[in-house]
Amino acid sequence: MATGEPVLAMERADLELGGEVAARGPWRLAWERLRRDRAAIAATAFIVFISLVAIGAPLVAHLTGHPPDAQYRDTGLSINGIPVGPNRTFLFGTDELGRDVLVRVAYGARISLLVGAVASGLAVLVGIAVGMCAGYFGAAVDTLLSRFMDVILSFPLLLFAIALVTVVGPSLPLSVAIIVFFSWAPVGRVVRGQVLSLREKEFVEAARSVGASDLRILAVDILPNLAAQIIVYATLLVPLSIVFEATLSFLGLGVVPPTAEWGSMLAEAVSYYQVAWWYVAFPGAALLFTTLAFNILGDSVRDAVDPRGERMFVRG
Amino acid sequence: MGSGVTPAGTGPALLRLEEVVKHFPIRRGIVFRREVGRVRAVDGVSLEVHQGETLGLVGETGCGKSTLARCMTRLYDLTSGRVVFDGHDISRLPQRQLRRLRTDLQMIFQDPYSSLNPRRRVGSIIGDPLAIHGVADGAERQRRVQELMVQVGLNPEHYNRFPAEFSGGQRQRIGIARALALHPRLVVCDEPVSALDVSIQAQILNLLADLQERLGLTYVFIAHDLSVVRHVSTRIAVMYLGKIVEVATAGDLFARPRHPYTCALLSAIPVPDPDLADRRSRVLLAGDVPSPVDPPAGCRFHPRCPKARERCRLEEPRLERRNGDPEGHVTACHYPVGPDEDLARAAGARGDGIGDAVGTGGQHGDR
Repeated sequence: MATGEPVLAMERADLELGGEVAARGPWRLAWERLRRDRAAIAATAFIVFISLVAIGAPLVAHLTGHPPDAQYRDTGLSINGIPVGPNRTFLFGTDELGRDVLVRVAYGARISLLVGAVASGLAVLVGIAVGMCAGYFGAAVDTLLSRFMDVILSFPLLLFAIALVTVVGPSLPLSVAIIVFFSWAPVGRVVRGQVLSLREKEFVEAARSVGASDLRILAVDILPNLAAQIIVYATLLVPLSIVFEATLSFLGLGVVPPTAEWGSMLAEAVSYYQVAWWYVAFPGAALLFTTLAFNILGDSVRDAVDPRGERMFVRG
Repeated sequence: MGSGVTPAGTGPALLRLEEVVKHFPIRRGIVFRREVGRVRAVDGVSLEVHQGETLGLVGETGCGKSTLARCMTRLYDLTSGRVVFDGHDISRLPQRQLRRLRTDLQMIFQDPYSSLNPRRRVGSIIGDPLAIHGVADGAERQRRVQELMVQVGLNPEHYNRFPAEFSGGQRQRIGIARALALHPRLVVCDEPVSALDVSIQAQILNLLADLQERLGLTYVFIAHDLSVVRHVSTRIAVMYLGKIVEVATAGDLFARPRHPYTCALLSAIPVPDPDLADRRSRVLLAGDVPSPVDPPAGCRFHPRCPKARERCRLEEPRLERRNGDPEGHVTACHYPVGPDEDLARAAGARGDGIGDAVGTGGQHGDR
């Protein structure tokens, strides 16, 4: 090739002058939009707070002096064996066994957030992998994977969960596995649809024309274009997973007693709501506000990263 | 057919297409997808591209130009036929071995907006070929990329910007830099300027010409705009409905077009002088381009051709040298247009029946 190094001395001088130029990329813009969104800030603040509570649950137990499973039959129950309401010793009242509801709600946050994060993370990973394969390779691979997703989406999930738990026995990993199994398919569908349109773009063809392999095209050219949708979906999947886990525990299919968990606390509280409102209210409020915060954050993230939203309206 | 396409003496053939066919199947049904038809996008094309030349490829939208370009660069698998690059048959190479070929054979794309990944920085887009082929890494790659940016007239300080921060013309320069990163020998330009403003078009065309001179590149230049092709091409191939209908040197094609379709294309170029434009007669073609799913029998141009006769409906004309043409000028027409023939009058006389064009006879002495 008769090319050599065709850079002139003058051009080289220009080249040395040029340093890094800070460009405001799409992520930076999205971040700035998100920062101006008050609802997002409030939701994030609550999520940070509940996360701190989850991490600091032993500290809460230490400060109150009430371990999560300790039963206070003398101070925590009335003479008739009824739970006592919020007072100075038990800020959130007690449950039917005289346990401190505040400490148990704090410990419940650990399980809810852990399951929410792990299950939705795994579901998103599986969804991305399957969706990208289906969308990119098309043909028989697509038919096979898409039909598989259809089957999963049409599964009677609670029946399946009850049957499985009956056979295997309830445990936390099994709950996560069930949630992942039922949550990845919608992600897979969304990703598949996106990839289907992305792979027809000229920049994918351009990547192929410079010799990029399929794997490289998927990782370098297609995945970054999916990131916005994936982040939005992941944020919205967290509250779904939390609710799903709480539902399983409510039905006695999740974590095993005496482990503190919002869903199982609600299940037990149902028999006492007429005499002990705090027993329902505090775990219920914790569940409600946690899922609400994640949902609001998810919506705000969607507004922030969707490039079309940028031109349609400006929030803040 | 290939024997008719003799070189015009510019050099040895760098790329040779032999009876290249690309059909896209049309499928119906959900589970059992059966083929119900085929789009004959490219239907038997033989061409040679010589070292150092620019081969212009013109034709209407939908005639198969872009498909042919993607067959040349093996972005598409051929239905049949051969692509020979630098003496090696590349038409059946598996993707893995094709990757090595990519260093020699590059492509510039039509749409500067969709051909650059919006989520990647310009430096990483241009450096992509270097990264993929393991040519340069880290600081060395950045240096090479910035050299390329200077070469195509971009500010190397914009290394870290996103494509959205550039104008259409600048984006096309990015595409050109990416194509040149590996020092290719042949660059297939698929309508590189048709998405740009006219003033920008000239800049990009001059840049391409400049780079060709400096780097000794060979171009295949695809366009639907004849005046653009004339500006850049050494030779021009005219395509109609998946077939090449005429090949000649640029000067020869514009001075003495032989195929009626070429005449019609040429007469459609706008003339800046209104007096001249008044005197010039336009060849208006009847109807639309027929569907490539079911192309007409015989000569594919016959339903729209002002000179069509019975023979055109039955027998497909060969792409070969016609009487009185210089070496290298080949035409696929039974009744090529003579030097002084007024095709516009013939078009008027034709009426609507295809075989009725009797009045146009008398000038086919060359057959």
